[in-house]
Amino acid sequence: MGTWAVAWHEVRRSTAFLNRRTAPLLALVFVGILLLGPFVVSRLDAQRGLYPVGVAADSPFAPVVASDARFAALPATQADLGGRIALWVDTAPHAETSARGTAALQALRQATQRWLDERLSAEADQAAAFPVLVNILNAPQAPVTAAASSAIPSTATTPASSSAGPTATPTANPVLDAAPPEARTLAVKPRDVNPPFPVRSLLLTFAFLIPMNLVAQLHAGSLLAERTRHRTVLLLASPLAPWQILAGRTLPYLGIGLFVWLVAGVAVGVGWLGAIAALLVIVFVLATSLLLGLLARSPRELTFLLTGATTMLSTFLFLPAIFTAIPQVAFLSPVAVISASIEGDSVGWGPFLCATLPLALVAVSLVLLSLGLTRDETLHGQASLSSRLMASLRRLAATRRGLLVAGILAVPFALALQLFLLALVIPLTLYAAIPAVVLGAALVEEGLKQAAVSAHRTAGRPRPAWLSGVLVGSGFFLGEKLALIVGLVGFGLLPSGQSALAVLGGGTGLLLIAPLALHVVAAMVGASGTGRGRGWTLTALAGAWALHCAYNLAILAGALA
Amino acid sequence: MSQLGALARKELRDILREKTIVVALVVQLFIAGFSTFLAVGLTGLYDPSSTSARTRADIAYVGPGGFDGLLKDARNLHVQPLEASAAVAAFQARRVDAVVQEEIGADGLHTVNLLLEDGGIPATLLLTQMKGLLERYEEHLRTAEQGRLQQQVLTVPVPAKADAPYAFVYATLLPLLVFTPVFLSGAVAGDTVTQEVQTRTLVLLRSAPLGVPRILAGKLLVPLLLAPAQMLLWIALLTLNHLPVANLPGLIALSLSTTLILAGAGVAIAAGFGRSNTVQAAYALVAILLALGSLLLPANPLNLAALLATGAADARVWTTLGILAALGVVTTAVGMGWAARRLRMERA
Repeated sequence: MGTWAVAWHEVRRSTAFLNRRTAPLLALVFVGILLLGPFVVSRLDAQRGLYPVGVAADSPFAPVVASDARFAALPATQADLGGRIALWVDTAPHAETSARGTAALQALRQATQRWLDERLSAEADQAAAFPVLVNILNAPQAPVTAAASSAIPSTATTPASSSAGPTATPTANPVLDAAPPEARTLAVKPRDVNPPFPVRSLLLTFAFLIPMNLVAQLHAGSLLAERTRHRTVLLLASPLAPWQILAGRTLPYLGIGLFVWLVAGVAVGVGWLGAIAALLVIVFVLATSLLLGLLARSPRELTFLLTGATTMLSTFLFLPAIFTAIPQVAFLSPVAVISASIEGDSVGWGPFLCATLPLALVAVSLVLLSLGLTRDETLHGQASLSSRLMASLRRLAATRRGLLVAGILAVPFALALQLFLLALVIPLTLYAAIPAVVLGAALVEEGLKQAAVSAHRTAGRPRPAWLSGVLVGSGFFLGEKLALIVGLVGFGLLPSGQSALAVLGGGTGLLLIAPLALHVVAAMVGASGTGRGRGWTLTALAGAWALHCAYNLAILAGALA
Repeated sequence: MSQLGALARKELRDILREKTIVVALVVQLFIAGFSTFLAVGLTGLYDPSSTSARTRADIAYVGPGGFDGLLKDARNLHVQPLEASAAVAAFQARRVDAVVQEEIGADGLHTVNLLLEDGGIPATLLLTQMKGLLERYEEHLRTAEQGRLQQQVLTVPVPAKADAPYAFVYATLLPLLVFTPVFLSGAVAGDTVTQEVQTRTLVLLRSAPLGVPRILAGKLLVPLLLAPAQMLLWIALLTLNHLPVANLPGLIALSLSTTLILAGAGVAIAAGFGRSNTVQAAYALVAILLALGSLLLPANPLNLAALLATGAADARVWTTLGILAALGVVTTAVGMGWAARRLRMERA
C-alpha cells in the first residue's frame, strides 16, 4: 500500500513541470525528432569528400569516381598529386605515397568493384561476367586431443554427423558430401563471401536503449532532486521500509520502461526470448539509475556518472555482439539474443542464460547496494562516492551469510570488469595484451574480494581476518562455479580467472580444489591488512595480487607445456 | 574581469574536487578504446588485406589447378594437392584446416568448394582471407575473358597494407572524440545552473558585486574551455601515434562554436526547468534534436571534423563553420539573456 502511495506521489511530482508553457515545447521536440529522424539520418555521412581526386577527361574511371560520394573530384593535373589531391586517375589510378593515398586507392578499388558488379549483372554471358562461384561448407573436425587442448572449447557438435548426413542426396563429390545440407551456403559470389553481419538488427536494439537513457535521466534526476532538498527525510521517518520507498520511487519509471519495451518490441518485431533479454536490459538501466541517483552529490556529478555508466553499458552490450561469427563471444551479451531474435534465428537455452544471467546478477547487486544506501546519513551526506558505497556495502556484508553472498555477487562484476579490461588492452599488440589481461584479471578479483572483506570487518565488532577470507573466498569460488555451470557453452573464452579454464580442461581432484584454495588463501592474505589503515590494506592487496598472478602463470605454463 | 576569473576558478575547483572530469576522461578513453577495438576487430574480420595476425593454415587443394597458384602465393598458407576423398579424410582428422576444391564447368564457370570448420576464430580468419583471394581470382579470370563481355573490365591493384584504418580514424574516431566533450560541456553548463537553483545558493552569489549575466558568463567559461582542451589532448595522443591532424585552428573553432550552441541551450533549459528534475532529460532531447538538425547543414558536423582534420576543407566546410559560429554566438546570447531574466525573477 505504502509503495503505491510513494509511486503516486512520484508521478504527481515529476509531472508538475508540465504546464502550458513547457508541454508544447516538449511536444515540439518529440515531433521534431520523429519528423527529422528518418529524413536526415540518410545524410549522416562523415566520409563525404574525404579523398580529393583528380580525373583525366578521358579516364574510364570517371563514372566510378562520380558514383561514390567519398571522392571529391577537383580540377587538377597529375602534378598536384601529393598535395591537393590524393589520387590521380587516367587510364589507371596513381596514388600518392601516404596513408591517405593508400586509403583512397582502397576506396577506389571498392567503388570500382561495386560499379562493375552493377554493370556486369546486365551482361548476356553471366559465366564470363562472374566466372567464380563459391560453395561454403561447414563440417566438424576431430576434437583436439587433450594434450594439445586449446583454451577455446568448440561448440558441441555431434560426432555422428561427421560423415555425410543421412538426408543428404549423394552428389558423388566427397567434399560437398562432407558437410550436412543445412551447413552449406551455395553459389556465392566472392564479394558476398562474408560472415553474416546483422547490422540492421544490431542497430534496432537502440530502439530499446535510447529511450531508456532518457528514462534513466528522469529517474536519477528525480532521486537526486529529492535528496538535495532533504525531502527523503520525511519518507525515511515514515513506517515505510527502505525497499518500499525505493520501489515506489522506481515504479512510475518502470511503467515507462515497460511501455518502451512493448512499443519497441512490437515495432522491431522481436521474438519472446529476445523480449525477455530486452526486458532485462531495461531493468538493468533502471537499477543503474537508481544507484546513481542515490550516489551523486550534484547534478553535474550525476551527468558524468550516468554518461559514464551508459557508455560502459553500451560497450558491454555491443562489443561482444559484433562477433556474430563466433557464438562463444557474441552470447556474452543480451544484445546478441535480441538481435538473433529480430532476425528470427533460434537461440538455445545455454547461450541465453550465458547472455542474461551475469547482467541479472549485477542488476540485483545494484539494487542491494541502493537499499544499503537508503539511510538518512548516507543519502544526505557529502562524503565521497567511494566512502558512501563502502557504507552501503558494510550494511550488506555485515553478517557472515552476507559476506558469502557478497563473494558470489562479486563474480559477475569481476567478469564485466575483465571484459572492459580486454576491450581496453586489445588494441595493444597480442604480446602486450596477454600479460595485461593476466595481471589485470587477478587485480580485479582480489580487489573486489578485499573490498567485501574490508566492509565486513569494519561493520561492527572486530572479526578474524582468516574467517572473512574463508567466507569471501568460498563465496567467490561458488560464484565462479555457478558461472561455469551456466556458461559451459561459451565462458571458456572469458579470462575469468585461469582457474575456470583449468577446471574446464582438466577436472581432476587437484584442479577442483586448487581454485578454491587459491581464492580462500588469497582472500585471507588480502583480509589480513584490512581495518588497519590504507598502507596495510594496499600492502595486503599487493600480496594477494602477487599470489593470484603466480597461480595464473603456473596454470598458463602448465597448459602450454 | 578578475571577479569573472575568480568565479571561473571556483567552478573549476568544484569540477576537480568532485573528480567528475576524471569520469569524463574515462568515458572518452572508453570510446577511443572501444572504437579502436572495433577498428582492429572489424577491419580485421571484413577486410582481409588489413589483418596483420594471420594464422598459419594447412590447405588441401583438389582440382585441375588455377586457384592454387594464388593460394601458394599467400605466405601463411601451406598448400598440398590431394585427391577429394583423401582431402576430406585429412580434414576430418584435423591434419588440414580447410579443403579447397575447384571445378571448371563447360561454360568456363569455376566453382570453388570451401570446406571449413564451423564457428571458430581461425576458420573465420581463414574465410576472410579466402574472400580476398577469391576476389582477385575472379578479377583475373574476368580480364582473361574480356572478349566475351560488352563492358570494359576495370581493375584497381590491391594497395599495400595501411598502417591504420585511415577512414575510420579520421571520419569516425576523431569526430567522436571532438563531439563527446562538447556534449558533456553543454550538460555541465546546464548542471552548474541547476545546482545553484536547486540548492538556492544563487542568493549567495548574487551578494557578490557581479551582475547575473556575469555570473552566468563565469559559469559558462569553464565548460567552454574544457571541450577544446579535451579535444587537444586526444589530438596530441593521435599525433604521438603518427596520425597527424591538419587544421588545428579550424578544429578548435568547430569545438568552440558547437560548445557555445549546446552550452547556451543547456543554460536556457536549466533556467527554465531549474526546479524540476527534468533538466538532464530535456537537455538530452534538445541535443538529439540539434544533432539531427545539424545534418541539414551543407556539411554535417562529423563530416566537417573529418574534412578539417584531413586537410580537405573546401568552401562548403568554411561556410558551414561560419554558420555554426554565428549560431553559437546567437544561441549563447539568447540563452544567457533568457536565463538571466528567469534567475532575476527567481530571486524576487
